[in-house]
Amino acid sequence: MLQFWRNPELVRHVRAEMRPARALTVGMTTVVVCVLVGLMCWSSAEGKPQPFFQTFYAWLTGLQYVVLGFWCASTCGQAIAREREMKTYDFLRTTRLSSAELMVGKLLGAPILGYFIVACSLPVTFIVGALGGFRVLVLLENWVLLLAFSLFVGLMGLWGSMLVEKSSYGAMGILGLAISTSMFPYVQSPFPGFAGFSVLPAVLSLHSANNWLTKTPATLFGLQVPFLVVSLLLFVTFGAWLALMLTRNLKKDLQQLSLLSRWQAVGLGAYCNLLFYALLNPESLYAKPTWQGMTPDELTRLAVGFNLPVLLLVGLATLTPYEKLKVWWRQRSVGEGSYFSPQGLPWPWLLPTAALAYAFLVAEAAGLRASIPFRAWPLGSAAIQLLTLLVFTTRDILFLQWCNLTRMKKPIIKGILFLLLYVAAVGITGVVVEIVKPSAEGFVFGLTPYYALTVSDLSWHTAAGVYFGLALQVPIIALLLHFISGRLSRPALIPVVATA
Amino acid sequence: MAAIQMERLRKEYDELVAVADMDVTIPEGEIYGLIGPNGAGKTTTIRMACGLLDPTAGDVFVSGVNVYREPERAQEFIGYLSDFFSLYEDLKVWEYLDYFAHAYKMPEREIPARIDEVIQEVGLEVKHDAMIKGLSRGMKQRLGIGRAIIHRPKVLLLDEPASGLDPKARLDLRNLLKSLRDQGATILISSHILSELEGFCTSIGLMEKGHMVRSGKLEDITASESQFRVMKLSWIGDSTAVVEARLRSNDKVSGLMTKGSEGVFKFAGSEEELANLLNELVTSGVRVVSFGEVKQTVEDLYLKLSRHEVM
Repeated sequence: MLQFWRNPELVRHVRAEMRPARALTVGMTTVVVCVLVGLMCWSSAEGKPQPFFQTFYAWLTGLQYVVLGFWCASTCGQAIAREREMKTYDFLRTTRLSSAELMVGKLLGAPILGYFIVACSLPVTFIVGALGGFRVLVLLENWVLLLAFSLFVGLMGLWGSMLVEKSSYGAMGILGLAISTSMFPYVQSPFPGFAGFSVLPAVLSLHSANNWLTKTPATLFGLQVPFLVVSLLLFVTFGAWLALMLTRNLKKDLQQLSLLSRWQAVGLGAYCNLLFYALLNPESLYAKPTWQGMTPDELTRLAVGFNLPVLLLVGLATLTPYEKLKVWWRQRSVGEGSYFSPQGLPWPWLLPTAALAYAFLVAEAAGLRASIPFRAWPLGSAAIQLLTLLVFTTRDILFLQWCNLTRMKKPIIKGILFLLLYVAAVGITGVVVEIVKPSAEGFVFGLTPYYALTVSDLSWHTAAGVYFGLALQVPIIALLLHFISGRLSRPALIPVVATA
Repeated sequence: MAAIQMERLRKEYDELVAVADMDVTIPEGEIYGLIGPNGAGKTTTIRMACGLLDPTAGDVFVSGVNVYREPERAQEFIGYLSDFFSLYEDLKVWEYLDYFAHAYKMPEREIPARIDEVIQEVGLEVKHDAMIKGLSRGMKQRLGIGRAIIHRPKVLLLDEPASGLDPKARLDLRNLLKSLRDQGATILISSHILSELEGFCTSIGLMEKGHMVRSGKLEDITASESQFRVMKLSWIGDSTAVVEARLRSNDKVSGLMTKGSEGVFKFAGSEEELANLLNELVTSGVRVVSFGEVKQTVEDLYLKLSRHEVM
């Protein structure tokens, strides 16, 4: 495992994709492209050496990130699904390679040509960077960042590829790359650290001492840290969660995937919350409303709202495959399977996740009491809002679990689309009701969890819609549980064979 | 120790039971033919046996190792080949085997010699350095077998290995499997083309609709299923009338059919009674040329045991 260069999967990719003739052609082409880029920069630098080298270096570095980012996203995004299509994956699964070895081999092997292209351009980049006045340490830090970024993107692609049947869905890797790059605008938010998911702030602040990003760095637990550190931290920690899911599931059949264990999923929820508060810039918090920051009330809503996708993520990661759920149901019917069993329904595990989210909020309020009074935090409302989210998420996850028990194709994707359709329908109906009878809008908007986050006063008489929506979910959840138990209680059809 | 042991093995897909609580023990050195119509559960059984599918209930032990509890250890003993597969077309023949030898974690120093040995065994010596994409279907199948045996597995699990092969390639495959059997490998082979298994399997298991209808040594099943043996007799001279008279007078004989100087009949008696019958014929002046039992084929047995599903 540690001698990754001897990993059979990596060696296979090197042999298949780096035959001498091809490697020579790729290497020569890379050098020619570098020369062409250099000529282009020379013509725009008007004969001044320093700006020429700096522009040339910037171009080469930018190209390296683009080439490696796309290469890793697309090749890793297809790596597993393509093997499934080719029917070669079963043979890999029946070897003695562990999931971790398989993951390392694919992560480094699938984009090997991309790594080779970048490796060919590295000597040129180093020389040009040094001549451009960049310190060697900066050049090395940039390479570390490039490597961490490409591995992270590759892990995202590999994770996506593990979940799909067709290699054409390899675009998921590119989608992951696009989402992480689009986090850049967070630089100017109260959570500048989230911009670290995009590699841009780290690259820009690394190479320019007078950059505005260098002057307003990210914050980590209230301390100002360079974007390089935050990006590396995000890539490593999120990459570790992806690696955990991959190693748990790489050798499993597609229908038997279970992304995380129950406790790991709760841990993921806790990690997301920890990250939320760790990346918050406390200087953007003000006890009273101002134009330039957030009040504790706004942060609380944001923290609760942040937990909606977190709870959904935890629920999705713990959805139980049909077969395991059926086994659990049979055990339960004879009094053996507990409700918190790893093979049971996922919803009981949303409860500790929500409780942890609330605990993190209280801890944040307590931690900042020196600057913001504890009573300024609307912790009571937050508890009700979080409860609302928990109930709605429980409903949604049970609905998705029910979808997974039906015979529809791609049940989870379809289930999510149904839920989005529901939210859109409620939204449109709410807007119509708002126009026709404004006093009743709350009862319509209350059918989604978002409404609870928009109401400032959660007392009974002003937020009746929230409680109406909440109360309505209880029978819906009971109904979903009834449907699920109905599916699971169906007797197995054993074909009868009479022996001759 | 049993080479393969399946205990209460069960697989359910949605509400359908694909394999129903199967108990099978295959001793070492057996060639076990898993027969049955399409959809009987053969592929599901083999996929569970090699750890590709988790069973709903039950366990599979290969060479004493639980396939689900210690999957990577169990793979050391298993070689698997499925009916339809592809190879890494952008590798050379030796590179492909080298890849799997490393993936099965064979000792580094043994690998080069073992690759040469396997290439020779599957008859691809002249293709040692050839790219896989240039091989014929039969050659690819042989290379697939080579991949399955590269790590000297004790158990070979072959799921319809001859499907899609031409007659020549089938014969090659058959000979290859025979030589592996001679080397002591235990082979579990599934097929719905029963002639493929003829004269090759030592045991059979008949599957239908997820159930193991019968399982055991071929001769034991044949003996237990046969109420009578089918005998064939031939003679010279004009003795047809005598033959018919003698045979019809014997109460153990039934279903006599004669054509020219040959006859086929069913005999429900013991070995001694059969010897007496032959003696009677000879003493009656019938000049017997041959007198022997017509062996039942696997196909005969299947038709007798099964409910005659579509093959």
